[in-house]
Amino acid sequence: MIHKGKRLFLIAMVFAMLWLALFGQYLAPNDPYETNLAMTLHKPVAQYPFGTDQLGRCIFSRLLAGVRISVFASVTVVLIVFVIGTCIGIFAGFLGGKVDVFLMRITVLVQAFPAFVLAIAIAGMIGPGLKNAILSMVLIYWTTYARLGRSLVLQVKSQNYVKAAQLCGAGKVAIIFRYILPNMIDALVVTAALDIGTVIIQLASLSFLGLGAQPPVIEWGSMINASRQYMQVAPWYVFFPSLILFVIVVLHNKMADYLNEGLEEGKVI
Amino acid sequence: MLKIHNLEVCYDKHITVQNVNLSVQAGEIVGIVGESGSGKSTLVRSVVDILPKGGCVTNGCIHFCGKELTTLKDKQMNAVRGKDIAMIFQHPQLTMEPLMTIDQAFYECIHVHRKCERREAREIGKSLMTDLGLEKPDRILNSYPFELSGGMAQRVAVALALVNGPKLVLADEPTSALDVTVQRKMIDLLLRVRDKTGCALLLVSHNFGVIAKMADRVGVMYRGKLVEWGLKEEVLYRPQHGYTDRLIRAIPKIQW
Amino acid sequence: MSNIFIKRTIALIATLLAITFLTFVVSYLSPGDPAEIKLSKTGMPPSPEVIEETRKAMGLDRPLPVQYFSWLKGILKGDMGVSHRTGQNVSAVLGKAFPKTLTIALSTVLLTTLIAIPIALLCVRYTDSLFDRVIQSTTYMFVSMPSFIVGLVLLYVLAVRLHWFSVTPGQGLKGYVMPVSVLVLSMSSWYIRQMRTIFSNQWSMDYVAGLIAKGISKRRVLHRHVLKNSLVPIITLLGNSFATLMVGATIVENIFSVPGIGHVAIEAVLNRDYPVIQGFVLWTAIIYILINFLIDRTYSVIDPRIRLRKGETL
Repeated sequence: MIHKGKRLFLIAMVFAMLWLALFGQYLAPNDPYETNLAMTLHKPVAQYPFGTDQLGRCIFSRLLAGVRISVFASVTVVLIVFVIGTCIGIFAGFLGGKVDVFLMRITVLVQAFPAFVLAIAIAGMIGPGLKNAILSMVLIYWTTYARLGRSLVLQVKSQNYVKAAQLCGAGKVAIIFRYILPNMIDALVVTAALDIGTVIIQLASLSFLGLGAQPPVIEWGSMINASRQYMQVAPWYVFFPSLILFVIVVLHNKMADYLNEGLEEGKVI
Repeated sequence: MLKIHNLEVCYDKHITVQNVNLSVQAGEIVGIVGESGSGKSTLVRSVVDILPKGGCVTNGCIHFCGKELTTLKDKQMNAVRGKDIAMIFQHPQLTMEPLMTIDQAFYECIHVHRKCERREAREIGKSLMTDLGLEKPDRILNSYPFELSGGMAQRVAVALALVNGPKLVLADEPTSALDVTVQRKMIDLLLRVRDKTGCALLLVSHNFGVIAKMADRVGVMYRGKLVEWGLKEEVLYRPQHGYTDRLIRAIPKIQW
Repeated sequence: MSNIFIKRTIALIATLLAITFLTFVVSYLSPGDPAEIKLSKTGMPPSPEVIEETRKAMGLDRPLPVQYFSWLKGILKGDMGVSHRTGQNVSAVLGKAFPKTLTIALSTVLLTTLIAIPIALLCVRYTDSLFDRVIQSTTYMFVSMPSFIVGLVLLYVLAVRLHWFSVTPGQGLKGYVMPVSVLVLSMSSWYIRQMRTIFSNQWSMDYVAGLIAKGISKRRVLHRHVLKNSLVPIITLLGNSFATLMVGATIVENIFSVPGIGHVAIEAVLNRDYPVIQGFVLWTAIIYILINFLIDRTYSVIDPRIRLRKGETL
């Protein structure tokens, strides 16, 4: 059993994140794009709770608007790689033979290099931009799920109840959906939950380097990048985006930890 | 020489050994028999305080040669372990450091208790192993534990245990992981060791046959308690406890 | 032995060819014309004729396989081509950045090892103690923190507030202090957690009980035997980290303006400087292959089980 408080926390977190991502922009006290040249790099005041940036835009409102990009982009990446990677892994594991060898060669090759360097190289070759950053993440991260999915399929496939189902004449598709998928979904979900935090960091890092989201898209990484030259005059400009990014990542990781604990003990909610 | 009084051992508040009283005289072989989970391994391990994580002695005392082991500091305990009290385990290969050759293991064992040269340690190891009937001791000394067979490794483990001339050897299922024919050799070996060195032996096994063959005095553990204690003959022919009776009748009837 | 070695070398060369060809294809297909980018740097919008001429001069008008093979021929002669942006030799560009990256990589890995091993050993020795718990939560925090945030915080505290360093890039060795500190902070946090797991796994193994039963002190068992038995996974991790750093600590080099390999890579990527990107990819592949080879060698030096098993099968 996970602790009851932890379980509540987990549920609250998921909802808070979704809610912020969907409606965060309506909470914003100011228009995140509206400039106020009379109050550039102003310290936090009632009108601008987190201060303003170099164009006098409300940092708080921009951060709220950024939840959408950061969370949605990362969740999109993880969802895509989750589906594609798992399918490829299941195929490879279930079919075996040359397809399997070929697919695994590719995953080994991709995983031999650090994700971030690859992301830079890919983003560099296809050009900077949020979509391309997402694409490069997808191109890298599907391998994790393919490998995990494959090893899980091989594990489950060798179980006697699957062999029994095969002997009873169950078709391949039926076996995959009825016996194999339900038995491996836990491990994959935990990996996905853990990856969301990592992907948030990596997307923000790419944007920070100028390879991810381009203005006027509001993204935390590029905000932090823009803010650093004003570090001496407007430390809050650096501070708040960094803090929010950090908090979001920690919350995601905690959530993944709880999910992991919960699934290990057999139940989540 | 060893006197255990009212011993209680717990694992995370779960009592595994309770109210155990027993003693081992010098040169005597005491056998503890019981099914797995009865707490017999915990009992011997608690003597030298090498219980797995979460386990600790919560009550009672363990007297050994005028010392109270349960109150000894780590440092004083280290001086007793491997010197006066040595231990043999069920899986010799797993309990030897995988990256040390037998040669180095001998040196390490001697070196922690007294000053010694590497060459001297090697000589001691060689002569001990020759005494124990191990062939090609030089080759063994240069090998790693994983290169030895189970029976060979267990004999090497006995040699390592004897290296500092212990007064008491604790043996936790020393034969259970071995082939039956090798088991027999092991039993003879341990008996010979006792006769030669005069050290006492506290032997734990789930196999009543082994205990019956070797022990002078026998104890039966059942659910964490010592339900039977006495000379071998008494226990074998006039068991007091129903469990002992069942245990004895479960021995396959082959006369040794 | 030699058979395996040849097989491996062939596989390596095939991998290298595949990687470089792939980067060629992707850069060929991707939008954005390097010639145009190069010319637009001058400020004036170039005329189509000028672009065409420049493309010819840069060899971009040739079909893809031809470009690739001429690049490959150059590599075999040790010529990695010329940067589109600056006209410098790619090998010279990388060569100039190399010492800086090497300094950062070496000192980071060294310091991380020196910090993480003792702390992780203490955590295992005193599991669940106050010390252990404090370390656990601190490292959790640092592991969740993107390295650019660690970098900016450090920059703010040490340079803006305390004035120990200048905000502008430092000269000489002093310029490495902040970047290396950031990397060491992030990396050793991660390593303390990893090593703690590795050590405590080893600590619960049977041989530890065996050694303690011989009268060897727990301290010595931990510091000597457990450490030695943990070396294989630790060296694998450290080797990989070293490789990652050798291809450029991009973020940190960017924040502290260290002109290392990572800096070169980012500059090249932002300017579509394909020859430099190619060079960077080749460099990455070579570093990884080399370091993995070395890690493999150390396995058999450390662990006789690996060494002797290999001897049997080869």
